[in-house]
Amino acid sequence: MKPMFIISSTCISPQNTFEGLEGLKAVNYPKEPVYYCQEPDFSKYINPVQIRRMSRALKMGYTAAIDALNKSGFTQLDAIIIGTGKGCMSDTEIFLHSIVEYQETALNATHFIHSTYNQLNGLIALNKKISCYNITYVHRGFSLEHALLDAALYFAEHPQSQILVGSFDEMTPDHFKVKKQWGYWKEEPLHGQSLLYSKTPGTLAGEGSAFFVLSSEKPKEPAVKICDIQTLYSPESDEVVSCLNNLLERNQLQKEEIDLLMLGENGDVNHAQNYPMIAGQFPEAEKIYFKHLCGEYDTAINFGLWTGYEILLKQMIPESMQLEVRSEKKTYRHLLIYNNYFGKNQGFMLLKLEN
Amino acid sequence: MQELTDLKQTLKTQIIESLNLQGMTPDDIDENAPLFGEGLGLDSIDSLELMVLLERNYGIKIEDAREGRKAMESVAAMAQYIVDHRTK
Repeated sequence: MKPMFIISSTCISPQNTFEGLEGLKAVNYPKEPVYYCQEPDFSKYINPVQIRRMSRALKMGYTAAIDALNKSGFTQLDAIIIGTGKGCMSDTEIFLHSIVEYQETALNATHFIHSTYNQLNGLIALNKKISCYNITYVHRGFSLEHALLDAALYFAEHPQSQILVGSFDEMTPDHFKVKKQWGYWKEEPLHGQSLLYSKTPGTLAGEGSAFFVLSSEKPKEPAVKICDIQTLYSPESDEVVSCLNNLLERNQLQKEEIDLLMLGENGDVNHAQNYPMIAGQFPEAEKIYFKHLCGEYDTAINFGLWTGYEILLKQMIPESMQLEVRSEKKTYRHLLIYNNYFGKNQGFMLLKLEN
Repeated sequence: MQELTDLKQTLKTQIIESLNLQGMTPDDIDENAPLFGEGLGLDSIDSLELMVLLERNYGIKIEDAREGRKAMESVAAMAQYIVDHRTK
């Protein structure tokens, strides 16, 4: 895979991540088994005429994307590639409710327009006047991974490019209720370690948006690169291990060289079996966790990727992400993320700090 | 007469709610000012929302675009159009 350097990034999540990694020092825990995002001042990024029509998901996605773009200093892009598991759920729900309530007549145009998955792509392109390759991946638990893989393919064909990649998903009361009936969520909100050590089914629902400006060329200063991404659909445990070994081999890495192992463990006993197996492969690596801070959603990996990038760049692990804090301080160069979205969507991401 | 005055007030509230005009109150809307362009500064998507508002609340379905433009010139024009054409 063509390596991709992260030039800048922004994350809007249930924690105060809009202000950076320091926002994870004071953790916000939910009172219900569902996390909602800490919202920044959207009016600084969106004009008043547009903001009144936009749902939370659009506001979160647009603000994270524009903030990441502003930080990069780029005014033009060669591609805008976005992943979303469900798109703007609240607009979709309002539109569907209207169909029922008004018997398929007198339907609002705004909610229909905004219920389309590629609304955010279009909004960024139109507002920033960037006409380029522009695509949305709606692949449920693999949406961000496939957006990133497409970016890597684009870099392979156009090495001198700058690409905006990101993902967004929102949780709505109706969506929460439907999945609760299927047993996706816990009955009570478990916090921190209690969630990660939980032996009951279900997890906490969540939402979030994170965007990254990528380049195939390393900037002058130290930078984090996405070295490899591997996805696996409903794999058996031995397939996961075999995939992991292949990934390490093709990146010419020994297991001891992985400094940090980030696990997408979410406290759902039904889908927890692979985590100890993966953790056991890397006894030397420090283990870090993220889903107790953002909840579970189709593109929750965006929170993991953003924190992984920040940790490598700043060489600092927030205590809230560790179950045990090691006293010795070492340089973190390689970070491996293993994520498992309800058993079906599993995979790895390999990040590396380059000086 | 009082009925028309009340209708204009109700209409202003419905426009604010329907178009999510944050921070505005009915008193901020001049009933004779243009709704589009100058005045309230609404756009083409808003015009679609106003047509939905008329259909849902007053049973009015506007088929002719020219007639729609005239009916939605201002709050006062909309209120008069409602009085003349409402079916509920």
